[in-house]
Amino acid sequence: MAATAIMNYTSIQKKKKRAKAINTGLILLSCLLAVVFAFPLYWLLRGAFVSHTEILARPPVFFPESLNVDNFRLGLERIQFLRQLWNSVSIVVPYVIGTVLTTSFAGYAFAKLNFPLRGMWFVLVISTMMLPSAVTLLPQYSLYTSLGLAGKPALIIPAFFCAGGNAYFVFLLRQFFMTIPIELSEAAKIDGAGYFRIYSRIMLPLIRPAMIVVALFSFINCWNEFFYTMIYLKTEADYTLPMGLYIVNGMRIPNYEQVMALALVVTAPCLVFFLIGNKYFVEGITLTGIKG
Amino acid sequence: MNPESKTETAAVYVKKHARGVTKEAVAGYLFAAPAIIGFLVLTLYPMLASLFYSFHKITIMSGSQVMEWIGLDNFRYIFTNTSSEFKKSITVTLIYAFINVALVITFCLIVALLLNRKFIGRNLMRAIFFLPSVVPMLATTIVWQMLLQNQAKGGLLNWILLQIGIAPVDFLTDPIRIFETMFIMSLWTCGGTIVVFIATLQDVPGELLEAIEMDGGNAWHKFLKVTYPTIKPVLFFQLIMCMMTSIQIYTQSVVLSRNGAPDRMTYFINVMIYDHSFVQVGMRGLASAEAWVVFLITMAITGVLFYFQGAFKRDDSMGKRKKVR
Repeated sequence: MAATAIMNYTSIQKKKKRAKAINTGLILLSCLLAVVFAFPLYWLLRGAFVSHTEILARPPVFFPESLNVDNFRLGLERIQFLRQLWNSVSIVVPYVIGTVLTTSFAGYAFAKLNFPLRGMWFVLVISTMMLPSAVTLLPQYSLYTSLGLAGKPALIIPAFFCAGGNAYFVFLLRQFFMTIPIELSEAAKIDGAGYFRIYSRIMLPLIRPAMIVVALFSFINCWNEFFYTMIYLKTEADYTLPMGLYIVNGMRIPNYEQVMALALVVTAPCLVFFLIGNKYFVEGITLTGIKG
Repeated sequence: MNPESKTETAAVYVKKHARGVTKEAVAGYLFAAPAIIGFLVLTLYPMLASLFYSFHKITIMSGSQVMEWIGLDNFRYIFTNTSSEFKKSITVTLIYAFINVALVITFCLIVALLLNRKFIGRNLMRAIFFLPSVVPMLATTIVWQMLLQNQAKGGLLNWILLQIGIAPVDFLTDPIRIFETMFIMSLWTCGGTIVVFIATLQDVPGELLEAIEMDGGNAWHKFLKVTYPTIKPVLFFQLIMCMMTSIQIYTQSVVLSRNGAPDRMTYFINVMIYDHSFVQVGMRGLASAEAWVVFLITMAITGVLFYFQGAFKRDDSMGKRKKVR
């Protein structure tokens, strides 16, 4: 009797040990994967700060002796930096404002207001998420061209109409609005508040975290946009920062250390926003991914 | 109270009530107007116009488009011309998309399962996996280009391969290898899906997992009987979204190769349609027809995905989830 108990005990101990070993192994594996994932970003960082001779040196220089900031100066000189920065900013800012404004309007309407055919419109707006952009490409281009808006406006306008991938945000915000109890707006209605007042004074403050998520994501999307900028921005004076980077990278003698410096400059705003809003990013991506 | 005033109040009540309803409807339409107008003008109209274009030969004469009705000729050309660019393009795009979806979903699920265990630094780890997905695709492609180039141009990976005695690989110039390069970059940027899966895995009922363990089930049983059914709806949603983004791959191709070289292996649909619409002359009608065929194919794929999983429900877990603020 006692013997079997002891045997049981040792076998349980053994099992526990094995589980622990597996667990440690898996953690090590994830650490290894994380290192692999972090490495290209480190390589980008390194590439931006090494000298011209170091970038192609073999064996590779993993830690440059001195941080070379000339790459940034020389790299920025190869593009019209201030002009392109201004172009990027002048597209991104109205884009984010438009997105936040109109997607929250739509989210509020689809969640809280009863109007005929609401369900149909909602499904139609949301279904644009699954539409390949190629189908609407040419007619949109013709439309903007005939209105004289092909160029920067063509990149900004979709934001004000919940178009161009923003249907995602409409859905996200609708989910948030749905969680707000109906009693709240009813009380406000009895007090004589109009719908816009209810939206701006009661609803908006309550869904602030979601609005931050939308603002962050629309910033990243717009800043990183490449396909549509290639289509609509024809003259070099209109080019955005990513397009400047694209051109330098495609040059005959690209000077990789300068390309890396430029790539870092283009990436920097995204990294900064990520570090500031990490929590919102993770929350937002979780929500859009699950419920979008 | 005389009957007259009673009917009057009723009328006033009805009027007020009716006005209340219409007021809300008007407000609803006003608030939804941007989205509805956007749908009609920037999606529905372009779609129909694109269909209309696809029956035409479009030439540009002195700056303006001249349309000539040619019926189904564009579609006939797409399907019968064996050497048509479209065939190669749709083939490589679909092959890429299917492999990519399988890779991304499996990889993200594995990483999510790894990171779902409790250990110190889990949040840092999650940030590391997510970070690459906010990096502009252009910068991503350039960095990986640096890592994967051939030895002479300073490709680090090939140097490492050489050190450990493996022959260098033409990641960017070999028709098959360039495909692998696309997958590497795609996996590197799939952090968003990992985060989604991690969040979903938190919903897996722990007591059920324990129950299976008590009954002597192994990890595979646990996954199949408890984890998979819980995450299935999210899994399928990610599958569909991943399919959509894979089909629309563009930046990686234009940065790493011109016109899909080598051997048009990266001449993806979006690259081709861009080419036919804006670079080559007189191809706009054909480009529209191609876009419509792509649209129908993607709809068919999505339809099949929807059909094969009946449990694509969005709302069942909504009440339970408390992350909504």
